[in-house]
Amino acid sequence: MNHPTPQHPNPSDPSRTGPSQPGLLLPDPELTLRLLAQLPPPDGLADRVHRRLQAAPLPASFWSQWMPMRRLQFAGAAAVVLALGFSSWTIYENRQHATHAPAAAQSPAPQSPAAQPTSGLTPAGAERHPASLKPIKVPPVPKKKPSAAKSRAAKPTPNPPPN
Amino acid sequence: MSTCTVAAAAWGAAAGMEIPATSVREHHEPAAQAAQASSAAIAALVDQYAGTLYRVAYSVLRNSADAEDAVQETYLRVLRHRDSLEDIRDARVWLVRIVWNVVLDRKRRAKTRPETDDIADLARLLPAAGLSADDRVGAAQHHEAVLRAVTRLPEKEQRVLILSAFEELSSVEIAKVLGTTESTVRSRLFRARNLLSTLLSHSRSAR
Repeated sequence: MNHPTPQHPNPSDPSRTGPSQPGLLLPDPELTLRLLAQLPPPDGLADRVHRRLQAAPLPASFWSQWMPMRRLQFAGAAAVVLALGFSSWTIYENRQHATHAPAAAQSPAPQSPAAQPTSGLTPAGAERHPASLKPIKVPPVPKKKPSAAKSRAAKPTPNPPPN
Repeated sequence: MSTCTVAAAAWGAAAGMEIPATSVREHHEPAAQAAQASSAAIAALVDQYAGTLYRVAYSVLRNSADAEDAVQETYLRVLRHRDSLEDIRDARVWLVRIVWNVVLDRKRRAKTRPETDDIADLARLLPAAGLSADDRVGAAQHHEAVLRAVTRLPEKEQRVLILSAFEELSSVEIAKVLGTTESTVRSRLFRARNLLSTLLSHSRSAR
């Protein structure tokens, strides 16, 4: 190491005596640290640092490469935030509609054949009638009169008359 | 052309800032200009503060190669923050703080290394021009005793004492480097000085 040697103060110089040892003809202990702190750097240090920095790859983030200007970066971030907010609001609104009008959403109004767009295919007069429109009619079970049944159960049946 | 300007130009070239002669040029010109400006700013910081940072690193590491490595690592960290250089108020204190953290990291990693030989070498290395041969020997012995006593101080007091030896750092700036308050720095410095004088008087009486 090539440290030039600055002028060293005389250790027996009373003016250099530290406050902690007023009577002793010894240098201030902090003088050692001060001399250490004053050691000059080696020659060519700055040039070597410059060279090292030139050789070092410049750390560039993805965002700084894509959008080098900081304002553009902020604008991009704001656009992303706005898009996220708008989409989440849209989803929320759709859910609100779905909960308020479930019946309307579940059974859409049937379109008349005239209103439907012509696709070149015809149903050839066939019509489909869903089962909900033609409910199966189950005949009602004939009800027995409860009073007659009760009287029959209470009274013992008389013996049939002998033939 | 100054070293700083040359370095800035070289950095610009190293960063791949050749501007294509198409319409993309208009789009990239502000970015290239900003990158060149930050490169020039870092080059100026190297020219201005590399020596100070080296001395701070050397005062802790006590090894020339390690101190130079620490300085280079410091500027590499600065390079990572080149976009926010404008926001730095006091570049000197900011750089000292970075190099201080780098140095402490290195010191922590190399904790097992024995320091006794380093201290004896260092005591002989300290300037002793203008002294007679006997005085030089006495000064070297004194420096060695002081450096050994400093290593025996508590860590916080030791750090404050080392940084206070740098005349270019005020107690406010030391507080900023260490991330504490000025009053804490002063009280630690007071305690460090008392402890140091006690340790030195003990070692003198033991002799």
